[in-house]
Amino acid sequence: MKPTKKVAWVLTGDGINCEVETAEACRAAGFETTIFHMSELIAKPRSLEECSLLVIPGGFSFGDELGSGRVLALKIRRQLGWDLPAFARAGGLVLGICNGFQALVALGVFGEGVALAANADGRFRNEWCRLEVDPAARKTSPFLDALAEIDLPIRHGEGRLLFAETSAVTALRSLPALRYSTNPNGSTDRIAGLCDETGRIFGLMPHPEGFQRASQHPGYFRDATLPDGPAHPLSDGAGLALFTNAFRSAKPATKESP
Amino acid sequence: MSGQLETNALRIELFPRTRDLDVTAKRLTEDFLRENPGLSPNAFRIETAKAYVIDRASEATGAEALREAAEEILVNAVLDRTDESEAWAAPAGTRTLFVERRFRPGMTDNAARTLEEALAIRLGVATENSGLLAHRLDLYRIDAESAELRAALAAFVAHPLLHRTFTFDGETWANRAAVTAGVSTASAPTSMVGPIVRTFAIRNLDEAALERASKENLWALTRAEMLAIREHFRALDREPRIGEMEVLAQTWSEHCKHKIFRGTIAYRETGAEGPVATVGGASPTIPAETKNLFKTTIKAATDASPKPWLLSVFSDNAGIVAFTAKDAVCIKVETHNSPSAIDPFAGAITGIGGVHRDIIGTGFGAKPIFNLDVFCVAPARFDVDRPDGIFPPSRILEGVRAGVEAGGNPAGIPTVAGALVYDASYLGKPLVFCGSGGVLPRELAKHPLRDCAAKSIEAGDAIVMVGGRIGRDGIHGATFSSLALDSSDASMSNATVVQLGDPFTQKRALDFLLVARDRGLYRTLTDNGAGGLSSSVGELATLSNGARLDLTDAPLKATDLRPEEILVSESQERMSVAVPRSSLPDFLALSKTMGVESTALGEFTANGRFEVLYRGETIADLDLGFLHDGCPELKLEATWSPTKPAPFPAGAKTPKVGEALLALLGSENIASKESLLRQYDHEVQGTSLVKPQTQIGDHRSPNQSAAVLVGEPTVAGQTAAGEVVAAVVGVGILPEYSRYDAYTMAQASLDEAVRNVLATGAEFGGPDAVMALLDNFCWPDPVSNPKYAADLVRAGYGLRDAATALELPFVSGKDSMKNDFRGKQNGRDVKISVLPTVLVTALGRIGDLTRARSSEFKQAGDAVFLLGPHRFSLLGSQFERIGLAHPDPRGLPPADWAAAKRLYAWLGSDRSTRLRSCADVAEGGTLTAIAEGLFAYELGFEVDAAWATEANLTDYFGEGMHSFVVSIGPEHEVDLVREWFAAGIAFTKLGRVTENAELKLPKETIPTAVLESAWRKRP
Repeated sequence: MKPTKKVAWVLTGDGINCEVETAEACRAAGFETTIFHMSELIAKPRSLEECSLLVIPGGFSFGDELGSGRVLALKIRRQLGWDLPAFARAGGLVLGICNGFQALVALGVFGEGVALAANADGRFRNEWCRLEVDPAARKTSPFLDALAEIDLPIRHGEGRLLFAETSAVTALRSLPALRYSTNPNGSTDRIAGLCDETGRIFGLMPHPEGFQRASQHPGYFRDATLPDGPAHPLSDGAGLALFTNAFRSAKPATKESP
Repeated sequence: MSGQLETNALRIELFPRTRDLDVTAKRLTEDFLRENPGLSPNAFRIETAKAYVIDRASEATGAEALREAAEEILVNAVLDRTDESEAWAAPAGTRTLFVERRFRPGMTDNAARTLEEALAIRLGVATENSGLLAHRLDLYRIDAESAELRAALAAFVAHPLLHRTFTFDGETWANRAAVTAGVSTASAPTSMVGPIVRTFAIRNLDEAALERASKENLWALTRAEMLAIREHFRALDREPRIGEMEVLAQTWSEHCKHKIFRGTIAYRETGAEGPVATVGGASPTIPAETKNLFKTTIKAATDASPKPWLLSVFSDNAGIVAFTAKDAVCIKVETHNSPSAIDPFAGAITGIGGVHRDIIGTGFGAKPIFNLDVFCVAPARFDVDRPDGIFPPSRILEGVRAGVEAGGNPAGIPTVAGALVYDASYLGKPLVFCGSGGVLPRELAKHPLRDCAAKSIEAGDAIVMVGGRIGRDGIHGATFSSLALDSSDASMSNATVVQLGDPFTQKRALDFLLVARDRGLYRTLTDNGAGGLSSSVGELATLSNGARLDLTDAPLKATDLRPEEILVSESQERMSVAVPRSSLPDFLALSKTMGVESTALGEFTANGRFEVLYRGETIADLDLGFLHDGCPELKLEATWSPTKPAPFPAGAKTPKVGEALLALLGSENIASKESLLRQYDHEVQGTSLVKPQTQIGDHRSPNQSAAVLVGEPTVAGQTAAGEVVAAVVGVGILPEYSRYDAYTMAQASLDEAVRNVLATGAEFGGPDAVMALLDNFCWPDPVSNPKYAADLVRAGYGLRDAATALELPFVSGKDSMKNDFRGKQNGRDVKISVLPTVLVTALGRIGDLTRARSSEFKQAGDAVFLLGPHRFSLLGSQFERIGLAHPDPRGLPPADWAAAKRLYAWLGSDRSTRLRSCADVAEGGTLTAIAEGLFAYELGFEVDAAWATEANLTDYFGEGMHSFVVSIGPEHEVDLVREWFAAGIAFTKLGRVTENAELKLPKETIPTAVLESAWRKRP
């Protein structure tokens, strides 16, 4: 039997804490979605070919000790043994959100000379930001298809994107994908998200799953008074677009789950 | 062994690559300058770095392999340097001081534990077999001209109860690694001192000796209680074991037993004039004797309002309320005042962590879905002017804020509601309330108990401890927090009462327990909080009528703990679980897979005894009946004499309206709390419906309460009605009124909590509308002061009368009684007692999500009304508090519960969906509520001519119960006015929302931007 389903895997465990709402967004976009606990995958290893989209959600893996995302990245590399760039080249999609983005950066999928440091003011921040989609990345990354601007919440203490003094963005294996319209954390060039050279690995500090319903936006209650405003608090939110874009370009899992 | 540890230690230091990356230094500098307002930022410079020391207990890992692994894990090439050459390059002169800081032995060192786990992953070995022991160190370089300032900064970076510090000058710094290399061995395994079983010879002690022993041992038992224990053991014809004394002291502590609320209070009133006259309100009748204030007031209110949706009240860790056909919500609010006074960060992080465990341990286990936090602290002007031995209030506030952040954000639980109250009375002891709500399925077919609120244990079930290990941290917390803080007392320097939290370990344990619950692998559970295993197992034992707890295999952080210390240690992140024998292997196996430590420690029995064993010997064997019911009843005297307000000073000039408004908006109790709430993740879990503030670009308006969704994860737009609802949580806390009358204080606090959730769209009225209350009393010692006892009685009846009138039940509550401080300031004795403070928390439901609403105005042209029987007063208001003069002749604002009920029933029904915004009239009064509504969308307001002719300062800024400022689309004005009139709801037209971003008063016009800047304290 040839597999035809578009399958999303959402990681959890070890302090990841946005798995439920992230899986919800994947399902809303059409994916057949499973939340996998890291310990489950380590105990019974699985091949990435069983999924179309891998999502590493937000959270505080390992309490952010030793640098956010770094121990989770170590665990993915050493204990799951996954090769994400190879998966992307084979048509798979990878999305890292907030702590998941931090883990992707620590895994080196965007190149070596990039890091996410503590916010410039040293403080955690939960705030809504307007984000601009980079035109080049829009063409490269299926996640960003037809998107120009989007409002999303940020919720992080270590989201300041910095490059090593020696490396220019162009020398990296990545493209800036999203920029904050203001700069809430002191990131270089206001960068809020990166995609790899295939565009199929995408990481961002803001939370697209945090705007899957209209009422998650702080302006909802006024928008709802407008004639063309959202009809119901549970109507779709703009952040869902990243997931529906992913669904559209996802390839069915090439290997059936055992 | 210790020699090996020293020689094999690996030390890796990480310096920020550039100074710009040293945000720890940036924040330390900010914090230090805030506490020392006169100091120039150029007077000092501080830089920070981190270091890790890894000891190898065996040769299992070669030194080179270890270094390579550690560097790969620790060093971020973009951000860190491993040599100090650049960031710390400046030559160290005589004005330089270096500090190395590390945790004291036995304290929780989360970074070190993570490093051990990461090294094991990297080296491919099991963590427990790696033979590696890590330590996290913090390094500071301090440059300042004055030696005094250097010493002050060195003291500032560490907490003596948590950290050990070593200081160096430029010369000795070079040898730092060698100097402190041996230090880590201080925590190397040692063994327990003394015999396993020790007894306490009580039978021949006289009363004075009993009291002395209670004090020396930090048992906090009264003379009467010590006498009861003495008689019990005389009858048994044996001496108690120390373990038994510890169990009794903890179980009978005020913290656990609430003896004051359950005692008998004789009440009388003195003074001829009677209470402060309330405008039109009746003065309450308080009985001359109250037996069990809890039953007579709080529980009586609940009994008076039976509701079909109440699933569990007062008996469990948290009250449980049915929310949908499938889901129930539980809620609990705790206080952590004493620990927060000693170490604000540690006190608050363990406070929030503890209340999460309360939720996890409610019913058959719940998942926390929101947090709330309320802080009461002294104003910043007391940073300098304060008694010896207590922290500056700014440091306390920043510490407790950071503690709730560190406990809430990593746990993935949104912190959605709260309050911050400034008052000088909180200088000695701050009040720190931490609350949490959770969701649990009403039924689980697979679970042995099926029904979420059922709690039972069968004899033979295993006692299993899940989560963290037991250390010396937090021994005697329950008894300690039942005492007044005394800076001269050993209690202030007693390191063992301070605990540190580890949210990561707790998150893993929670993840595991929810899976185990859904698989039906345990019967019931509770948290290890105050009193540790003694309390958790001692309480669970009442379900099966006995327990045999064996501490031999208890996992420890410090191996030299005595068994009675293991028994009462309050080390965090632990749950006690009753597991049926048949499920035990599966339970333990799942725990191991999910990286959680679980250990079986004996079993539940049915022999009526609480037995505790250690290495085959009995360290406690108590009759459960005596343990839980043997504590003698407390008797209190209460005397109330009304306080008269100070007369209006002759010749004082009353302020202009605009001037007063700007002063109020910028005053500490009203000004935006954004700096706190932005640092809390208030949207994680993706359930946010109404946020604590409405943030539109760079503009902010406050909301009255927050709402989060409850229900199965949904595919947007495909949800059946009633499956997804919202929980609204709001708080009321108005201690200001306690200066005059705690009865009004309690009623106004309750009313404010209820109004806050109504403003956001909560349903109200009729038996099916879900709204539940929680009470938290924080009091100065009512045992030694009859006035405070009278305040307590009056507050209790105030809550009862208000809740009964509104037909709202209490579902949970907690009290904290000895919030007094004794110490010295400038050589003189000082005593500071908190204002009698009641926090009321309201949990409401929005059944139809389209009823949810926010507080800010939405559209120009909308009409603005005041709804409710607005009998306001400036007495006890923020207007009075900030020192604005007023000739207000009125007394305290009265309650009118009949009018309130009519209005609340309208607001809590579908009819109120026509409101575009709703805000309750609270601190700062009506005009403050109007101003706050303008910010988000930069709108303006034009005051209605009719109202303006009549209005005086009391109308603009008076505070009171039951009223709201609402806005409506002009198309609804006529029909709503008719409807309110017909329903007997008082209303006043205040004005109209305008496009022009300014507040237009009869004689003044103030730009909205100016108002918002005042509120946000922006220049």
